Amino acid sequence: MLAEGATVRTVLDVVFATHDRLGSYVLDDQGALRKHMRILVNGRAIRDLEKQSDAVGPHDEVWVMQALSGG
Amino acid sequence: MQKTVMISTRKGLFEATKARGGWKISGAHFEGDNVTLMLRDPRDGTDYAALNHGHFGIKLHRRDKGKKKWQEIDAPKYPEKPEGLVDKDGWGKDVNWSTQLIWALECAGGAKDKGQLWCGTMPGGLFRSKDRGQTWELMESLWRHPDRNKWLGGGADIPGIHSICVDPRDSNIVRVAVSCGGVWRTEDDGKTWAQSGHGMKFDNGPKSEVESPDGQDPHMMVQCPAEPSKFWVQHHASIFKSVNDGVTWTNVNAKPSSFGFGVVVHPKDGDTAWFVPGIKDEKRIPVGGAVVVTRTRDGGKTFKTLKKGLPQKYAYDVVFRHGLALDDSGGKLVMGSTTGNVWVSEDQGDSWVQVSSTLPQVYAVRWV
Repeated sequence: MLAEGATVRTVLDVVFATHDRLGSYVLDDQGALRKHMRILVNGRAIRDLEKQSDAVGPHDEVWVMQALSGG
Repeated sequence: MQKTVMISTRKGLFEATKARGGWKISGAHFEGDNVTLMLRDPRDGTDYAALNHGHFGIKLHRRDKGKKKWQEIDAPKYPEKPEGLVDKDGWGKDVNWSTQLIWALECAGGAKDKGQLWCGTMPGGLFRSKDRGQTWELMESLWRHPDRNKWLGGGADIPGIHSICVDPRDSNIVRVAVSCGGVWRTEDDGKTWAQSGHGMKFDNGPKSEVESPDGQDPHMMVQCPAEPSKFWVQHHASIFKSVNDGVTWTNVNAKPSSFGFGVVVHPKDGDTAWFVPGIKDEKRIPVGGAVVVTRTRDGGKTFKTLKKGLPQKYAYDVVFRHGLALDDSGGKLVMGSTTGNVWVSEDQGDSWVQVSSTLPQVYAVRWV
């Protein structure tokens, strides 16, 4: 989907606002990225896992991915 | 009369019922998901199920009485950690203010207080809801108690509240047990809290640590509904009981072992309790590879070892703290193990029948 924002977090907040409860699946109670989640901007992993302050440009692509493991 | 057993497991929530031909698994919910605990509130028939998705976090679901469909509701959430606050646990590790496990779910208030709930969590926060889990409030009074920073993880990496006993004489009096942090008591509906684990002790270590109530590891705590001054705790080091409202605790020894996780007490007789013993404490398997239940009827003076119907060779089942349950009549028991075995007894533990040997790892069982 298309979402505007100058940082990863502002983009995420736009998406979370349209999908009830989605935010709690990606971020923990303090707003940090859950430990098995990874966010990439144009294929590069973000560095600020606590606040997701990494910059996003007007045409950037943001991927939210999770690692699934265990038996 | 409670006729159904709800079984929370690593891969779903299952129902077991007795039909012609005996006990069988008769239903499944959340198949494939990690269900750690469930509660049915008998006041309105609502079911609650706690899930731990790991990668997606802790979730809570609710089902109205008689309905099939579950609805996700908000799980207890910690408030924003104040900027610059140094908050460390008893190990000296930073406390992550985020719900990492729902370890206790119990009705709050009295018989008329429908929809009021208590929820104990890792890393040690106690939450209350007054609206069927729609919203949750952290008990700041306990969370901000300075002694909370003495709490530490035991078998788990972080501390947590796993046992909540609402006093049947006065629901403003609540006791919670913490691994590891002793027992905490409020007498004013959560406004103030005090340590209530005095007398518990470990069997090895420096004296100051061994007897410090703030570091005790009660694995599970129960209160007798009809004799509410009587409590039992299956502790990490041994069994402890209290006959004075949980003010002080005394050690009780059982054969073949006093180590275990679960304990249940008879609803009318505070001297009757059941335990599932194991080898303490680095092995944590049944003694001699034989699954047994121990029962006292005399307040811990003597114990009977109950094994009829339970595997007595090469069995390595561990019954977790919520894996043993007694029904409201005090006549029927159920237990589920780490190897996916579930047994029911309808004669107070004298004999057991196997309900399933193929379930995932069992975390918790309840009669509903």
